[in-house]
Amino acid sequence: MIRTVFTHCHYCVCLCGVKVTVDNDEVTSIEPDRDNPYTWSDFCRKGKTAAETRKHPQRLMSPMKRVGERYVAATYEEAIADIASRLKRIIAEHGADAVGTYHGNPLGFSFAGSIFFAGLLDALGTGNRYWVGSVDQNNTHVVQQAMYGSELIAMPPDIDECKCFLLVGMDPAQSKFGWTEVVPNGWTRVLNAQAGGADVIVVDPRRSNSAERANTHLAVLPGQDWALLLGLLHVTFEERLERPATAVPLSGVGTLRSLALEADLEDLSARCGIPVPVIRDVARRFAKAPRAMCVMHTGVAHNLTGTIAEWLGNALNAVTDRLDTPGGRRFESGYMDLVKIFAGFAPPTTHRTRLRNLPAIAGFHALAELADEIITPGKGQIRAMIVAAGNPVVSGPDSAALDQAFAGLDLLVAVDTVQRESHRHAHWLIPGTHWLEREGLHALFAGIMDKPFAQYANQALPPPAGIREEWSFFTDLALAMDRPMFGKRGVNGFIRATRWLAHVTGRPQLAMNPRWVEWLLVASGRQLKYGDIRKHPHGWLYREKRYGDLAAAIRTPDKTVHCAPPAFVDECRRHLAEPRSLANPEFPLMMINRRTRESMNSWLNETPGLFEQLRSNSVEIHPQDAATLQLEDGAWTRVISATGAIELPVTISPGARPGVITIAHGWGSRIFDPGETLKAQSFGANRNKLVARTLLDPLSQTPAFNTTRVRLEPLHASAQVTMHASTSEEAAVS
Amino acid sequence: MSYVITGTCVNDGACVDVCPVDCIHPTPAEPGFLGADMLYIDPDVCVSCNACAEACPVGAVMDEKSLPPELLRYRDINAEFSRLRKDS
Ligand code: SF4
Ligand code: SF4
Ligand code: SF4
Repeated sequence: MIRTVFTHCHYCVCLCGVKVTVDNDEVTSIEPDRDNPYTWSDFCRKGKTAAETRKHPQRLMSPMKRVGERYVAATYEEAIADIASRLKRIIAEHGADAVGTYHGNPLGFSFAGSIFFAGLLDALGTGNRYWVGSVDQNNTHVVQQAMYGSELIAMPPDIDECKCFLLVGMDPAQSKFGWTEVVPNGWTRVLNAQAGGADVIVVDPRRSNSAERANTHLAVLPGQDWALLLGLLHVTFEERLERPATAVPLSGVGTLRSLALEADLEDLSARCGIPVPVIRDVARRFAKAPRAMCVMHTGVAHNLTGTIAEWLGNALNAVTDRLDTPGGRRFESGYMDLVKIFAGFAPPTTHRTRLRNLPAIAGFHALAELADEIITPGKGQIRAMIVAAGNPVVSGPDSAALDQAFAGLDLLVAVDTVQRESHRHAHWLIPGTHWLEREGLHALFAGIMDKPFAQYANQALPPPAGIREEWSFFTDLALAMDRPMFGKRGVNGFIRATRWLAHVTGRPQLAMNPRWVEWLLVASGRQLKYGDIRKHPHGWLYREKRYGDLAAAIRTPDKTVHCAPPAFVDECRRHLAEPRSLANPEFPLMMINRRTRESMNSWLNETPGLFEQLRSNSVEIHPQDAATLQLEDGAWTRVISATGAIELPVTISPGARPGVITIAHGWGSRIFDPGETLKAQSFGANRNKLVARTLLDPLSQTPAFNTTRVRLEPLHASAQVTMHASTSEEAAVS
Repeated sequence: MSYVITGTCVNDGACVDVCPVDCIHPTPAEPGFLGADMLYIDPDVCVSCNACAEACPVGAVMDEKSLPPELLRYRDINAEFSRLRKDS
């Protein structure tokens, strides 16, 4: 029987509406759902090949237990009993903080998975929680907290009304404008606005596909966006180009003005590599445009100055009246007050890390700290880890250090669809589910959409026989440990009672499940009915977008937008006082990162239908540098930093500035076959091995993925290995 | 709105690999590929994702709306080929 299922892709925040054709137990095609009123047009090969990922040959089909150097299949009951008793023993002996946790980006795309994982963490009572957001988006949360009073106030770009786009550290032609906000069809809409006369200014050290289409491309020096943005503020204040804020009251503008005017424009220009007349011109174009926005993405975040740059860009929006005004950064209130719900539900954690005494950001500690927290003995040392849908060894800095740290753990539990690089030393592998196998309403996306939109995702196929959804595993583990789910007494008893009721009545929906939470959240907003959302299988634009909700949502004590938070001002002054970076003879080149549309971090690179041409990352290098080093296109080179070394082929491209090389992240992550052959497969090389775990943005705790100094050493032909799949004979466990 | 392949196409098929909706023909696996003058985009299926334009080594693919006047005829050439292919 052939069925058609309408759902949305859950790989990236484009959330493309898709039409899935299912013939009995097989997905026969995935196409963009052209009846989706909002989100299908970014559709890409990742979504198209989703069924291949689901049927991955190394997919975990049952819990696997490590026995010596091998893994053997086990039942959930065996897994849960063993993990629960080992965790209980570790907590009894060493305290709850001895259990660390990490979750990756894919878990965030499962509403049920993320909510119930949070419930498990509260049950464990550990403060040692780590997440993937700490390697890219922490700077936005720190700025949102300081300026708007909440880590959850997002302001999606109001593209269609905008007349001047200042896009910093982003390549929307590849990313499709998706990062921490949902902006479907964003890049095409920017190009449409441009065709209607809008000004597009792209700031990027690389001449990306987006930069090629821009009216102006500013090839800023890596990590120096803050100096450019401060320069733009300098000109804005000096030439009195400010606009009074119409939507929200501002505070701290005087301090910001002094800071910007005190800074010497010539010095800022030398720091960022953009000539003074160009800075002046861009500042004028931006401030004088009737409607404009400044948007910053990971190119900015992945630097030691990511937080101050994100702040200065927000401040530029504030003083030119681009907050919650048409064509600026609009606040979308969604169908419930998420900010308020979370403020009441989960008071911010006060936990600090043992060794560096750093606070949590958005509830989690920084991945950069994890290796040391595991290997350094003492009270509070992490001895067990639960890794859910994550690959921290590849996503984080100094991969070798974290890999070694994981090798020494008493217990490592990995929950994922396959055994990845980070799960090499796992004691237990627990199968995960694919989004084609799940259903639900991702209520947390409501507040980051650029239009009021809701879509219930339907299940295309059930998980393979015997695989439980992640949320149910997390719940069962908490019950088996006899620790209260969500940290609230009574919840476990309630869950058991509903399960009993479901059992005796034969109605499984009576057992507590994630749909209840979704329903409760929607009902709490009193705007939409859960049932009405479900009646719109293609998704629902439930009202017109509107302006003016930001003023009420701001949670700073005085209800103003803080334009000069003292910690940011101090950090900015510290950078202004530092000498401009000097040439480094040992490591003369700067390594930056890039996006590739067919990649989703370390997650999908081995899917057969992706990358038919070239399945690897490479070292993109400017022709001038290639000539100096006598490197030809396709030649192999060793890339060396103070932290590590990798080997990759070279792509000569005039893309990046001379002195800057580009290597995409997420590659070189092995997938193991725990069952049989002990063979591992990977493509490309993991460039995060080169990034230090100690050099962090002090405000966001983010490593310098975009400003790591390296040198290249050409490799002789004899050392070259084949360009494509490198299948190593190395044992899956060691 | 659709993307359009223009006359400078060198038939290497790089665009075929990246198109998410498989709307570029003839593909290297299809019979007409060897003798084809160029490849063509089916405007009814194209989702204007720009992937083919990025992959093309010779800049032969363009967004329909940015076609210069002298290349406008390729819009009809792509559409006509696609119609004939589907009819046959
Ligand atoms: S991965 Fe591709 S198909 Fe899936 S949501 Fe993102 S852009 Fe759309
Ligand atoms: S724009 Fe996208 S959908 Fe259209 S032909 Fe090119 S790759 Fe295919
Ligand atoms: S990539 Fe460009 S040159 Fe190659 S087949 Fe496609 S359109 Fe023709």
